Amino acid sequence: MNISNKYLTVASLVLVLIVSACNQVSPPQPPAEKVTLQLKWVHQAQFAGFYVAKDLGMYQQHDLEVDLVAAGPKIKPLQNLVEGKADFAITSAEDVIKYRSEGRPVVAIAAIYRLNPHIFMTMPDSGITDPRQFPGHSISYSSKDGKLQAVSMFNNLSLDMDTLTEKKYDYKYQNLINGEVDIATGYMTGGYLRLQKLGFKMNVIWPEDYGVHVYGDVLVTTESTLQQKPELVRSFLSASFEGWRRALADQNQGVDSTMKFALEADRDLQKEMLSQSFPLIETGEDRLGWMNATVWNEIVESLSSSGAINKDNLKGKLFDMEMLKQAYEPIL
Amino acid sequence: MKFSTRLIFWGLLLTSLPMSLIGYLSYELAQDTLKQEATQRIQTVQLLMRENFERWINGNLQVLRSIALRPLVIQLAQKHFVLDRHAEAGHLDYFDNLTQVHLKSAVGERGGFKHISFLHPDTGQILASTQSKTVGQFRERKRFFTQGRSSSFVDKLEYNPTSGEIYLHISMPVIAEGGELVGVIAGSVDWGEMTQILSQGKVGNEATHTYLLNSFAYPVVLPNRDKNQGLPLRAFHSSGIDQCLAGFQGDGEYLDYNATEVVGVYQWLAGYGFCLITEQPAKEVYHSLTALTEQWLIIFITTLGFAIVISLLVTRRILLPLNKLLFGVTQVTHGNLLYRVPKPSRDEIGRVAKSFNSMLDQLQLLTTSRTKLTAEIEERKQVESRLRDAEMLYRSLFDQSPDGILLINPITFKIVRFNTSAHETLGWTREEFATLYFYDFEAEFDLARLKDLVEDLRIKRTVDMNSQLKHHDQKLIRVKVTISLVEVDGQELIHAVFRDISEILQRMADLEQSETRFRRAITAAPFPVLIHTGDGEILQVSDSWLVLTGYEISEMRDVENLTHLFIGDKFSTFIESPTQLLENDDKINDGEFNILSRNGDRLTWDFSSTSVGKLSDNREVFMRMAVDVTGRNKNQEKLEQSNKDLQQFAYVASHDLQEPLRVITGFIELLAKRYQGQLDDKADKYIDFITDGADRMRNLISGLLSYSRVISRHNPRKYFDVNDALREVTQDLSVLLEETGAEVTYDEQPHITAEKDQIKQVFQNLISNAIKFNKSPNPAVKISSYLEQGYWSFSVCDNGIGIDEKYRQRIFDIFQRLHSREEYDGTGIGLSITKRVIERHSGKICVHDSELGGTCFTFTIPENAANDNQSTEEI
Repeated sequence: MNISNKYLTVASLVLVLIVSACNQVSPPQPPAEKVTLQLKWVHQAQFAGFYVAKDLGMYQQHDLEVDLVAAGPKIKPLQNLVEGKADFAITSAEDVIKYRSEGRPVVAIAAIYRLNPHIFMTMPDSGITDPRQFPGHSISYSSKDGKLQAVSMFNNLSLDMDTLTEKKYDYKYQNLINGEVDIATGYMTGGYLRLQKLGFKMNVIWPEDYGVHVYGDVLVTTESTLQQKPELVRSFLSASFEGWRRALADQNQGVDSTMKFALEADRDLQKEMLSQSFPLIETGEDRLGWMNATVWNEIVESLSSSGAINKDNLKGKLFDMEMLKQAYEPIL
Repeated sequence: MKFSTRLIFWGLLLTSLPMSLIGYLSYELAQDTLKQEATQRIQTVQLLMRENFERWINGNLQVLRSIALRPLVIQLAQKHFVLDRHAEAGHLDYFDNLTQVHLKSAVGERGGFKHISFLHPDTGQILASTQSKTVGQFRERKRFFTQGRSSSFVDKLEYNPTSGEIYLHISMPVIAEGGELVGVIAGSVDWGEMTQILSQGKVGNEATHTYLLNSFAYPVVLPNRDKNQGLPLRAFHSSGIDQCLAGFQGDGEYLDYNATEVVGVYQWLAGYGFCLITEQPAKEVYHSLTALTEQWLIIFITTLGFAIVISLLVTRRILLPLNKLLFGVTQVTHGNLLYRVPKPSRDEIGRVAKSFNSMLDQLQLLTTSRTKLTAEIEERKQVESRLRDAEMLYRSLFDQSPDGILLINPITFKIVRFNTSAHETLGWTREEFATLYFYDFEAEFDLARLKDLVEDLRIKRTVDMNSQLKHHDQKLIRVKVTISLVEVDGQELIHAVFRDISEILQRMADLEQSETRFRRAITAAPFPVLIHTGDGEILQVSDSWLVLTGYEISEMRDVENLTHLFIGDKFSTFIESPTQLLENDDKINDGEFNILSRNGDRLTWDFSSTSVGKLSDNREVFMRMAVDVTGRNKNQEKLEQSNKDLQQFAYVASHDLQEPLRVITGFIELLAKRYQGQLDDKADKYIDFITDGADRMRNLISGLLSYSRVISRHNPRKYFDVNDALREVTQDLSVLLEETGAEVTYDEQPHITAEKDQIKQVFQNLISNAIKFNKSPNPAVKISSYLEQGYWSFSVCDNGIGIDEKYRQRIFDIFQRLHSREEYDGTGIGLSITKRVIERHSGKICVHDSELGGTCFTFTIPENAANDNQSTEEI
């Protein structure tokens, strides 16, 4: 072997080393898995944690490509979930129980709003500050869930629902402001803020204070997804709660990411919404998303006693904490 | 690098390296120690804080317990509890007494609580509360209720980010005698006190900063803040906080949430759900390090200075004698062998210096004898060099001389030496010539004469003579020879230098002949010619001069004398005019001079002079030539007189003729006025004829008068704008232009120097003619101009009837008409006046065909006109 051949061999060896080193630097990436999350309502700070997780690449780190689909008045999140249009959905706890009682295999895997943002509002000068003052007044419900909570609260306080006159719900609360309605339900993170912006410091009666404990937004998937793709569920939960934790700890980031999606481009409103949501999501008990059986049972009882479901039809698990526990494992 | 520099460098290096190392190590050590001390101190503070916090909580528990143990409270609870165990909710005012008397005693300034409530032991409903609006609400799921039922309980921190309010609940069961649970008493501690507790964190003089964060890194206690500001609604971040929230306990040096370098201690209090952090700014921790650094620096610099001084002293001690020695060596190198190293010391270098000195003594002895020898050799070399130079010079002169040089043996006449010029002049090659003897080419060789010549030379040294030498082709060459005797290497030789002068002789002969021809030409010239020098010596006079004047050449001694023979009015002018030639170096016209001939005739000669070069003595030579204009001048005078008379006549005639004509016209008008129509038709016709005739006569006379006035009356010439003149002319002709519809155009015209009125008249005549002799329905006149060879050419062109070639000369004659009066009216004087004006301005006029189809009149005016033209005019 002459000298030039030697050099050639050394050069090729170096080249091979460089090439293999390059390969080590960027191993072939598995294609990101596509996931669709059906939201409960239009894009707003209510879902800030998911926006942050998507915006800051937390899903990407878990090899997920997540599509966040907004809902609207005619869209039923769980319907889309069971039809396979979405892998996960955000909806109310009552909805989950209702679907489950109809035999449709949906499972709650985490509670986002562990305290319910649903409240009863009366005008500041009305003097109505306690549910025991409700009888004999008119009321309008923003949703069916609102009414269910009223029933539960009245049951707890041994009050009679028939003493209330139900009136039509006005999204803009004009009927409440001009006195046509005495009591209206709404979201602590929605209607309440809009009225506050108009300058009304409303009286708030929170069912939570009167023994009504209902989860607000819960994260739901289907039984089959849970069984067949536990890895996917775990990754999704892990990334989503990383996003939520970040959104709550750094509310500016939460709002920044929200603003990239939000329908209502009012930064102040979104910020206020996120701020109001904080104590409903982070309650000081357990970890974010945590659920317990007592609350679920209470909701079932409440729905059953109001006749909204037939308790006997409920079979299997309403909720499953296994994946959430696993998702937290690296920290635990 | 110089030795001294190197010595100092090493001195500094050897000093500063260990110094720096020691400095660095002690700095590190001090820093570590300070950090450890600070950490311990901060840990102590934190421990103290935690103890304070727990003491505070326990104190509060104690307060709560004291309420729960009050017999009246138990009694009240028990009583109503028994009564209302199954009672309807809503009868809560039973508990007013409980609230007012017992619960309020621990709220606000009286106790450490913000609110205290009494809860139903089964349902968790608030039965009594210092916060009235919560009465009736349920807390059945709250840990402070569920846990508080069995024992005293401290809940986790609750933080409301919307309001920034912080709640820490503690609770206590109310147990009746017999162990029956009759209620739960729960209170929310006044968190504001916590701030005070943490603010007091001090050990010694060191200020530390302790604060609490909840699990979301939101600050829940942040001392050292303005009370009105409240807590910032945002998460804090630092590596300490991150570690703490991850559940770790520890310490470290890191950037705090304000990006300030701190030493901090942290621990996560899981039971209470908050993170306790105590920090001290690194600046304060390491404050004493600065002083240490300063001290070290002072020592370092002092040591360095000391090292430099020592290095310099050592260098000086070693280098001083070394430098003396070095100086000595340099001196010797430059040839100074007398130098000795002064005062050698007793050390090693001193001994070297002594040896050097004695070596120099030896060397000096040797060098002295050698120097003399060298000087002698040098002198000889110089002499030889001079000789060589002289030889070179001589050889160069000999070989390159244009003259032929020969060295001849005076006895045998053999050519001993010769130069190139010698054999080439005589047509021989160098080799052939070397074999020759002098008589081989001396044409008039005469041995006896040559021998005589040699003898002569012994006396005279040098002899010049003309001689003839024979060329190789036998042709004789005339030469000038200089002969002398020289002695070469002890032998006497004839030294002959010769130069070919045949060409010079030939040229001289030619020159002589030329001179003769020139003299003869001058002498025979048919007009007077005089050649003289600048100082007046007459060199030659032509025969015609003598014939015309009748003087002999011998009578004209010099120019001054000659001019006396002329009438002396322009005497000096004639004498001085050649000096102008020296300035101008050209031919000049001296002007006319009156000459008086010997026999008394007056002659007029027109002289012109020219310089014809210099004599060998550098005197200028001038040639003066004259034309005899005596006859011509006389004729001209006659002609001028005749013209003047004629002009006078024309003027007088035309002027005086006007008077009788005016009488005739006047009376004819009277006659016509009075008798028109009263006489018969014929008489009327005759009157018309007379009137017409008189009119024409008046026009003729006034034309004639204008014509004569062109000469007799003239105004000074002025520089004016031809554009202005044309504008004025077209203005004057405006009626005619309007009647005929004619158009006069002209482009931009120049400025000229002329009599403006006369030029205007020229344009007026030409333009009116152009319009008059025109049958076109749209008569057009175009005027243009251009500059050529110092003259402005003006053209006036029309589209009129044109002029036949054969009449073109006649039209300028006076009273000349080409058409009958019936056809075109006019006197026939206009163009004559035009021509006269142009000629008076030294211009010319001509006529030619126009591009427009009619006639063009073109006249010229000099660009730079002389003020007046005195040429004679013919009438």
